[in-house]
Amino acid sequence: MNKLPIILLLGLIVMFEFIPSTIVASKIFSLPRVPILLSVLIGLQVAVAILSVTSIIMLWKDYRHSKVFTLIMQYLIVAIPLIYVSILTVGLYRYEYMFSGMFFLLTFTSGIAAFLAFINIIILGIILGKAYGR
Amino acid sequence: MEGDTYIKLYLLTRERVKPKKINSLGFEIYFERKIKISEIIGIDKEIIGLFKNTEEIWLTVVTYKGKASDLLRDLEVSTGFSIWQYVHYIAFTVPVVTALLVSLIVVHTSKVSK
Repeated sequence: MNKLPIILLLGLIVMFEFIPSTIVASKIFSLPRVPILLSVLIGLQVAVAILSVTSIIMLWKDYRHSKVFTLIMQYLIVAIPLIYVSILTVGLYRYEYMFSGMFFLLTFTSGIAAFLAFINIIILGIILGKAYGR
Repeated sequence: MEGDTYIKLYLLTRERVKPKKINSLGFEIYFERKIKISEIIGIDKEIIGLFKNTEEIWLTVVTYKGKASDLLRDLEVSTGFSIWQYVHYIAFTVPVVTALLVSLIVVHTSKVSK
C-alpha cells in the first residue's frame, strides 16, 4: 500500500498540533502565572509535532521500523485530546476566563489531529496486518 | 474573623518576588512586570526613595480570595531567584527536549534501509 496518504495525514497532524500550540505558548509565556498542567500539555503537543516530523522523514526514506514508530505516535496523538477532556471533566483545571479560549482552541485542534491519527491507525493497521500475514 | 474576603496588594521590589511563600498562604500572583522608576514618579517620594540607584523595579500584584479565617499568619514575601518562577518553562521544555532526543535516537538507530 502506498505510504503517501499516511505522510499527507501526518503533515496535517503537524499543522494542527504545532501551529495552535506555538501560538498559545507565545501568548501564555508573557503572562505572570501559567498553570503547570497547561504548560506540560502544550509542550506535549509540540513534542508530538516533532515526533510526527520524524515519522514523515522515516517513512519517506523508508527507514527500519518506520511504520511501527508511526503507529505508536498515532496513539499518543489520540491520547492528547482525551487528556484535555478528562482534565476538564474531572475539574482538575479551574475555569478561568484568561485561559478558557486557549483551552478550547487546543482541545479542538488536537481533537482534529486525533481524528486524522485515528484514520492513520486504521491504514497502518491494514499495512502491518498484511505484512504480518505474508 | 468570619466571612469571605478579597485582598489585593501592590508590591514594589528591587528583585522578583518568590512565588512559593505567597502561594503557601493562599495568595496568588495576579500580575508582575518590571517597570521603570520614571513610571511611578507620581507616587509618594518616600517610597521612591527606597529604590535609590535603581533604574527598574518589579511591580507585583498579589491577590487573595477566600475565607478570612484561613489567614492565620502574616504574609511574608522574599525576593530573588526561585525555580518556581521558571517552572512553567521547564514543564513546557521537558516534553519538547525529550521528543527531540527520541527523534535523534530513533533516526540514528534505524537509519539502515530495508
